[in-house]
Amino acid sequence: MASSTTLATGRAAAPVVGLALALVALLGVLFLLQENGLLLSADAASYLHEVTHDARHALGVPCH
Amino acid sequence: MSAPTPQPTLGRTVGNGALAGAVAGGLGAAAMYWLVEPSIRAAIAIEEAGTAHEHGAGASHDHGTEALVSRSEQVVAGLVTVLVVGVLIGIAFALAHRFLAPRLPGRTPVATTMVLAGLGFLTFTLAPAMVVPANPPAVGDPATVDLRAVTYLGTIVCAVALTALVTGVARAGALAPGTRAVAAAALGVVGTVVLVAVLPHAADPVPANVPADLIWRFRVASLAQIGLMWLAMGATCAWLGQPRTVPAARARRLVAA
Repeated sequence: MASSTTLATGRAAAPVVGLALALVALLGVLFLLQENGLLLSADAASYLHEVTHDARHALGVPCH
Repeated sequence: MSAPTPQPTLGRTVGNGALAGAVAGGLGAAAMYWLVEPSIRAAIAIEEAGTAHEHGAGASHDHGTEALVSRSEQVVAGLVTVLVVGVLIGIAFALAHRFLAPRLPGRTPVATTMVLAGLGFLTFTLAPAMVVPANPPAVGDPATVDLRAVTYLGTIVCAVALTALVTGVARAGALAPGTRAVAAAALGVVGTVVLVAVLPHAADPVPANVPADLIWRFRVASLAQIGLMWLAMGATCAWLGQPRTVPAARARRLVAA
């Protein structure tokens, strides 16, 4: 009985966990390509900007 | 406890997505190196020769000798970034397919996966490319980058919403098949026209010292790279998502052969 209960909660939780994971993945992409000093210090942000510069342009993401 | 339709575990979906994304990212990095980098090199040469665009004070963005990141590091890191972005998008793609598959056109998992990859290219790549086209490093005004970034993301959100609406109407059981097709097509055309008219024209003018030919080659190469990535991701994800043949059945076939 206990095992079937955990199974049921596991199944119910799967969509939520999946959605959260998908959201985290997309936010990771946004962070890599558009971080302009919101979360990182100015130095770290400009380093990240420079280091991902070619990929940002090639992937068509706006850049100055 | 057997579900009516066998669905892989969440971990397996994420793993398949990451692997498909890595394949797409690897191919995308190769395409970037061979197709896009030559245009980036040419654009940086123009940028360094003249003052194609001045950066605001404080924005350390020279590609010259005192650059924060050397040019060779930038190329290698750019390729790695494409790979990482590929893996992240792959995970999101596989999860999106897991939850959207019943609502997507197509009878088999392979078909729905490829349809989702096509819709992904349409909404996440082609739509923003039409409103805010990709530009090589020599083009782009720092003063407009925020508007361009917001328009770029807004275009993706609007394109996803319109695609969801069109797909929903195209599959609406309440309408007759003919009505459904006409309504979906009309909605798609009218929606696209409205979006193109309403979204801000945020694209920067191309400076006079940057040849139009270079911009064209860069944009075609960029679209080719991203299109290849969607195709590779869809195909790999579809292949990984196919049910494995049971080992016993395969062994029996081998013995019989």
